[in-house]
Amino acid sequence: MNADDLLNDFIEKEKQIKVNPYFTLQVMRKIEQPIERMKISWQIALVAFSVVVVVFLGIGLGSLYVADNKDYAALNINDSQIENFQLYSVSNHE
Amino acid sequence: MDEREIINAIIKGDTSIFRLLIDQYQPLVFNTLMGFVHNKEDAEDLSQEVFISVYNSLRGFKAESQFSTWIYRVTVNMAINFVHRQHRRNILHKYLSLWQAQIDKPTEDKNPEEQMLKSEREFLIQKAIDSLSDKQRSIFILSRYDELSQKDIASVMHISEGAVEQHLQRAKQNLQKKLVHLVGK
Repeated sequence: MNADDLLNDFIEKEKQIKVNPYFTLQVMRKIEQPIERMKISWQIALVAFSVVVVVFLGIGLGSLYVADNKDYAALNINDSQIENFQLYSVSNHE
Repeated sequence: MDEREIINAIIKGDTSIFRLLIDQYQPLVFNTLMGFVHNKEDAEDLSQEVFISVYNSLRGFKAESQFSTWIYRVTVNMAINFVHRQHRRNILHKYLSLWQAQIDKPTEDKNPEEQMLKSEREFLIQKAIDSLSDKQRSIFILSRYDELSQKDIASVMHISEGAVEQHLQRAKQNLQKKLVHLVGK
């Protein structure tokens, strides 16, 4: 047996191998699948966009809040005078 | 329906008719890819990629050459890209898979030692074919696996018939050199 015969035998053996009988179906499914994939991608994009909108809305609403700037007078109450009820009397402080 | 009509119908949106082209060209594509990858699963996966690529590029097919020539070109390019990717990935893994593919092949031989020797021989033949340059390998496979004429091969490879003849001769010489030690085993 020479090298050519070895090669021929090897090649003939590989040529005997056939593709699986569902090959055409598998390819057609992959070709038709991108259309479904595109629909799902749009849905995901829509959800992501909604989340972003909600986040910015929240930030926007939050930035509308204005802190109350009223000045409150602080009562400095000395502990030693804690039982001095006159300090709590409104008429005394007016 | 002739080929041109089928292609026009697919371009116009009749996707389902593409199966006619798949059924017609699938043996040719698969055979060619087996010559490059020597593995049924890889050849099937690549065949699917070839047809998906062909489907997506149908609008670009200008009918300057035959449709079969165009499909061969797509197949050879895809095979070479795959082989280069595999080579970069992991050389050891590639040869282990080749070896495993040989061992997993069903066989009529009942003698395990004979089977082992046969597997080793086939492994070395694969390795010899894979060691050819891209051009030599492509031309060798188109000639021996697909039995294309030199004129058709020249058309697929965009080279002259003389260049095809030259590459084929060199491929045969290189393979002879690599396989000479197997003769007589």
